[in-house]
Amino acid sequence: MRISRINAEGFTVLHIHEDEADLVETLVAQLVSLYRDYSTGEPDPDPLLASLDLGGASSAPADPALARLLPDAYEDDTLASEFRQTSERGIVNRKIQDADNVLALLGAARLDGIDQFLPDEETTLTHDDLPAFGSDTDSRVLSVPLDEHGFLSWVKTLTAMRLALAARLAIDTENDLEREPLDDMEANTRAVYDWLAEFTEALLSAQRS
Amino acid sequence: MSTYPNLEAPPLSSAETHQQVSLSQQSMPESERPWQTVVWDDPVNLMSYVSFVFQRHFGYTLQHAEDLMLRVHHDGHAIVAEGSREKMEMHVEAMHDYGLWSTLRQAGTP
Repeated sequence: MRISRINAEGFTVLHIHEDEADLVETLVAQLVSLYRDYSTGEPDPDPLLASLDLGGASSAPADPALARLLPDAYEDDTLASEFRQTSERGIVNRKIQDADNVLALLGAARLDGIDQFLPDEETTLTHDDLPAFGSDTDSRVLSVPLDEHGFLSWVKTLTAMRLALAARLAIDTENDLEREPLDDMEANTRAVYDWLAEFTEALLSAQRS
Repeated sequence: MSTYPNLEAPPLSSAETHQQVSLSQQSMPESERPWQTVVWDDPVNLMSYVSFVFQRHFGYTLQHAEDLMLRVHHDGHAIVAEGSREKMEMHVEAMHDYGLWSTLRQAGTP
């Protein structure tokens, strides 16, 4: 993966290997089903109305991943419950919209075919050294141009995926990050979690450059 | 928050100033006390991301955003905004949109 920045247009371009894109898509799809299974009722087809949708549960979700994605807004249980009952559905819908936008941008990049983007004078290559996640580094490279909105959808969704994975990995304190993985599956999940962190770091540093 | 090595040492924190503010606010009548948006430390969110969110959402300068982010990291939480309850509810909701752990409370609440 490579990330570059076109300063003139002010957007960031992701150059992502197809197997890395596959991994991101799988995780985002899981995140979306986590949200959809939780949220009651179909969201309004109008994105603005969906994002303003009123309603929500009366207490924090039982699933630890959802509990991190949808924390209480008040330390007091009664106030937290009141607030959740009006705000939660809108927040879930906005999180779904961000995740869907990530999937749409990847889908469009797949249709565009190969990476047509060549570095030129207007381009700052910010991350040429981000380790590839997949084993097949010869796979096709997709270019995903991100404007301000696209960039926000990506960093928010990468963060949401890490919050959900952290719950699965039971990372509750910084010390838990030092713990040896229990088995291969946990080691693999940790590798994905760390890769997503590097990816997010790289996107943020590209945006600052 | 995950630690990255290239960060400067934190400025000597203004935690004491904060305490004085809340003590004086405790003597104010409840209806006059402002509400506060608090962001809590968590082991997942990256320091660079927290700083980015503070700049992007609140329009804070890089320096101020970094100071607040470091306060969250070292003190476990920081007050990032103060004002009306409605406004603080909007901020907390926005923080949750970004995936940050945030709550609101009235100043001087024990």
